[in-house]
Amino acid sequence: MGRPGLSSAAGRAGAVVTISNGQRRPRNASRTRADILAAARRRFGAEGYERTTLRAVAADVGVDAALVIRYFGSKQNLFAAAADFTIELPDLSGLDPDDVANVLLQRFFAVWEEDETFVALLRAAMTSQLAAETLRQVFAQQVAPKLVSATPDHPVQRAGLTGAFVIGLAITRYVLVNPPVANLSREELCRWAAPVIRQLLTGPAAL
Amino acid sequence: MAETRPRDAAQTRADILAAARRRFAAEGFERTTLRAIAADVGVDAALVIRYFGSKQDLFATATEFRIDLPDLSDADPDDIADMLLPRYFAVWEDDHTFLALLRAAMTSRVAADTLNQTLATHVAPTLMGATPDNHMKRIAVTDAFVIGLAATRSVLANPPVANLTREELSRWAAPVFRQLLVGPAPS
Repeated sequence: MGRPGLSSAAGRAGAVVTISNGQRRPRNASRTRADILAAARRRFGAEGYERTTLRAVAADVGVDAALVIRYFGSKQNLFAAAADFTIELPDLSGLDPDDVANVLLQRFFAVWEEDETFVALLRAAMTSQLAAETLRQVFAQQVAPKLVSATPDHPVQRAGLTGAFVIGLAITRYVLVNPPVANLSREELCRWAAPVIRQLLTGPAAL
Repeated sequence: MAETRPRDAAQTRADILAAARRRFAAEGFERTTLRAIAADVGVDAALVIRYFGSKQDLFATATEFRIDLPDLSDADPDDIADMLLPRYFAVWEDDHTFLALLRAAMTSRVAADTLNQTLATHVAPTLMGATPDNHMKRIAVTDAFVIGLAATRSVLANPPVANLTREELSRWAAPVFRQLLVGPAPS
């Protein structure tokens, strides 16, 4: 306070930070846990696994790093908790092949644009073996079983390749922000991606 | 220590670039230091700066990879995947430069821009030789597919894709390339 050159708006912002900072404010433990997880997702998402520190996550929430360790244990455990999310894929069995692609693409936008956890996991997985293993588990346990139910044959290959295409869309659109991909509207992307998903999941097998 | 050993300037440059690729691939752009690269080669950081300029300049030089895509303008649509995929495999699997760039691009805006620039200047013009219409949309989704395959196979090592032989992968990818590059535009 009182630093010369600070505008009154900046002064007010500083006061807010002071109030929300640290143990003096009565804290609800489950609220604090949730805040730590949200901060961890933002950090892992922006910086990847290796560069993220517990100290930085704690500072984002205004708590001590020791509290983060008390709640979550190690950085590795915090990552596992932060990346523990559920992809709610609908049942695809019995759907018309054209509808499968559209259902998946709608879920794709929901998962990647409305939940920063998945971008966090992807960034981390591309730069850390531990995070890559987490991503492989999510694929094997949550994504592949649903995709497999839509395939007529070669379930492992078809599900794997469909997953690779979706990962490629996510990397180019949300991480690289590659202009030709990022500039497509949702509708345009759906129109061009749907035939690919249909081919990989249900098209004639490559023999 | 470095200065007492007789050094060939071209060899030293090549050694620095190789060390830089390893560091950028393993640690990403932000965490890699010129000092660490210099130490890997046994030279002084000042020499790295003299040869390559800033870390960003060194990164741009180290990750400048060549991808020699064939002329597709007269290609039979059924042949396009077979013409492209061996070149892509050479870049993902036989050359560490691309993977270094891809990994670094996941957490660095500088690296992401470098990769986007490479796709725009070295890949898009060749693919455009094949596309009949909607050029940028076709190329955009094709690039996404290729990056997804490279990431899934060579970085994430997801077994269903990593375990495919190159021939199996080519057979599955061929109809996708065909659809995206030359197939009917979706209505």
